[in-house]
Amino acid sequence: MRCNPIAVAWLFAVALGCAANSKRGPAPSPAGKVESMSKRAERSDADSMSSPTVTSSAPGSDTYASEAAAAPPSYAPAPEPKAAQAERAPSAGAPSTTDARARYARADVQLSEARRELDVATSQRDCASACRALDSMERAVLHVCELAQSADERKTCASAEDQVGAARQRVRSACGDCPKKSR
Amino acid sequence: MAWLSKARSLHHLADVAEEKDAIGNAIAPLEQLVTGTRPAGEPQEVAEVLADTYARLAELRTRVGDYERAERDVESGLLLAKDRTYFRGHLFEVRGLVFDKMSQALEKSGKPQEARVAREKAMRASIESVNLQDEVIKNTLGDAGSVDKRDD
Repeated sequence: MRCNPIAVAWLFAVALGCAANSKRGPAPSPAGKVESMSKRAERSDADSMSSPTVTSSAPGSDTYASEAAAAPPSYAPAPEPKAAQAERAPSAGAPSTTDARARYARADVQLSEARRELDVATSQRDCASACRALDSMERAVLHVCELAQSADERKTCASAEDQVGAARQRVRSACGDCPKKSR
Repeated sequence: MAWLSKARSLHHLADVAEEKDAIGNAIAPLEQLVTGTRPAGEPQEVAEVLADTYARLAELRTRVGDYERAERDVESGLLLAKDRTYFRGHLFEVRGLVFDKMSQALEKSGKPQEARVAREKAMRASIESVNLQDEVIKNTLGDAGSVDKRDD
């Protein structure tokens, strides 16, 4: 029987391909693939913060590079990711500086916003505390004046009323009107 | 913190009972709170909640004429609220109420001398509360509410 040389060459090529695939291990499960994709997306986001040049590299190249790094030593190392190459490249210095400034500006805006929110929250909390203290003070003054009988006690009542009046003014000037009491 | 959540629930039970004027039923969950296990280290927030609970217990006991136990609750609360805070001021405010009601009860029962002593204690406690809360407001607002700042 005569062999067809084209068929023999084809079979040889197929056999070589199978051998190469078996060294890479089993194909990833769909779930693993999804995870890998989501991780990549996360990493891409993170990298875009630390190194925007990643986005210019081929999609997925960094993922495969990390898989290669985790593989046994017998496995041939994958080519270095373009992102890493770009980071080391002398030309990468200029855009990184610009991006770093942009990131700094963004962070500065975020910090200012956070400070403003903290100030508002602190002021709201302080006003709630001041209003609560004012309520208590007003009830106590009411007591003092209800109890006052002698001239001295009535003086004390008047003085306490002045004190609460000043406190009320202080709270109003800092916080506006206090909310109505629930209890 | 689980303890704070428990405290909120017990105060809520007291609210429900108080709305129905069932003072005894309002006192029971609050007593459970002050006599129950406290978190280790007793953080400041826990001490404040307990001090406030003692103040509420004292108010409730005053409503049913149990002045002596009410005053003991105030004492217990003051041991927890030693700093010059709203909580200490509120406890003095409640003490004023306790002695005021006690004075009225003593007057009615024909004990004018004891009534006068109780009334003086009520006055002193209420004035102390006014001074404490005034201080709390000044410390809390700082320059924010001062007259000088408003006039600028």
